[in-house]
Amino acid sequence: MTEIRSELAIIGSGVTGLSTAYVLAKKGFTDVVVLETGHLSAGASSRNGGGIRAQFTTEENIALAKRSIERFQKLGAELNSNFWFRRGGYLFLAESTHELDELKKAAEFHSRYGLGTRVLDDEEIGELVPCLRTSGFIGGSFRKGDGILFPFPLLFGYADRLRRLGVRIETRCEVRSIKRSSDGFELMTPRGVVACRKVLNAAGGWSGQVSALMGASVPTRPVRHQIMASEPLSPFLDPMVVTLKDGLYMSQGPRGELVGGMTEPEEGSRDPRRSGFNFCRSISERMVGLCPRLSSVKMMRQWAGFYDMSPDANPILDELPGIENAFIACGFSGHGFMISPAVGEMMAAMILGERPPFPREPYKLSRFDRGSTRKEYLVIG
Amino acid sequence: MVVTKRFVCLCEDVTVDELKAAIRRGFTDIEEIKRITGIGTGPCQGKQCLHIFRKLLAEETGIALEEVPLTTLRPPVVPVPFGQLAASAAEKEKR
Repeated sequence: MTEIRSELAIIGSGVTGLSTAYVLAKKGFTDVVVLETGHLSAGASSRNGGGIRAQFTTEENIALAKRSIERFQKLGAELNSNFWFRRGGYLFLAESTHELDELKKAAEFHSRYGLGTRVLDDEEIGELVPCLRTSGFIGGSFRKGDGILFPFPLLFGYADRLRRLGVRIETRCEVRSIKRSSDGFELMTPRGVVACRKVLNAAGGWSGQVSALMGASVPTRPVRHQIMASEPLSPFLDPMVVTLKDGLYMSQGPRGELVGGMTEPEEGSRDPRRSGFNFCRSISERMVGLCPRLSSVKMMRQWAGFYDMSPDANPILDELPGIENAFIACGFSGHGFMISPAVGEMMAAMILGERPPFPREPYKLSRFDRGSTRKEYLVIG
Repeated sequence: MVVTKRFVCLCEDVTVDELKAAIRRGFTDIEEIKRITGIGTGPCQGKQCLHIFRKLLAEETGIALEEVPLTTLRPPVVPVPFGQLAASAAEKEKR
């Protein structure tokens, strides 16, 4: 059987794996193979809504997000791939005094980190997004520096560059079992054995299964989320709009399509890749309620993906306890894309044995055993 | 002026040359090319172009046509106004 030898195997070609590979490659570390079960970035990375924000509720998450936004501004030029990062802001909407109080608290917290989140009244919301003028929100919060991007050109830009730098990306190449060897790991795949000294599990919704192949367990689980796109429209919506009540989000993408999703009851289909007509109905009802002008606009398509949820909605960025040189980056809880540049820097440092650029403590797997978790509250969709 | 462009996807203006360029870049999976070029993601959702796209992909990559999968087909079958979907949601709740 053929054998692929490499210093590092990354399991998963989503944005987390590619971003880590890119940070490593820039440091000259290119003896890397990326293994992907489906097509390139087949999981959540090529199914997400492209929202990028720094509005989080822990100091550490804000730091990861701020660094990532800084990187997103430069990555398009570096990779020679325009992913249309547009900083139209994130507008959170409150429909009750309780929700508004939450937003006020978050904005005050953000001010400590210089995010400049502003609390708005209904009139200011109407000025920012005229089509919401009649919707009767009592207030909201807005941060101009947040925005959206188009995920595909970033993912394919990474893949192009990595391949040119000598990194192997093997798609339709599922890792079926993992064995420890004298100097690392042996991964069984349809293309033969991949022998590597270090391994990074960046398998997103499948990261629990991949961990199990190494005899480790992580407390994350994939939860299905659906999303839809309208027919293309002339530009009318600058910010990403989010309601606190039901996690509805909508933005206008670079192709003019209105892209949006909302929180759904978890019952129903558990298969994260399937989608359903009931979602089309419930999101339409909510969108038309918020913005009656959308009534005559057509929904064009819908699809589904998943959030890899962790118990405290924070990612796990760690070396697996007891398994030296087995690293894991999972449990992103819907935020994997937006913090991927910083996560890439974090994981690359761990893999190279360098000092990590961000605190490790809040993202360690052992936090769940110690009971020292701090929940991230701004999980949308 | 003679137009020499050959369009495969009439909704998203994707040409034969653009598809070939994506394949030459090393993206040979139907789902990857769909995401790179936008083919089949417009108002007809691939009803006009999907089979021409599959045939071209088979020819360019040497994969047998039967081995080239379809992209995932999902509702709505045709674009539907949000107002109509919203009304059907309200009716479902009444029942």
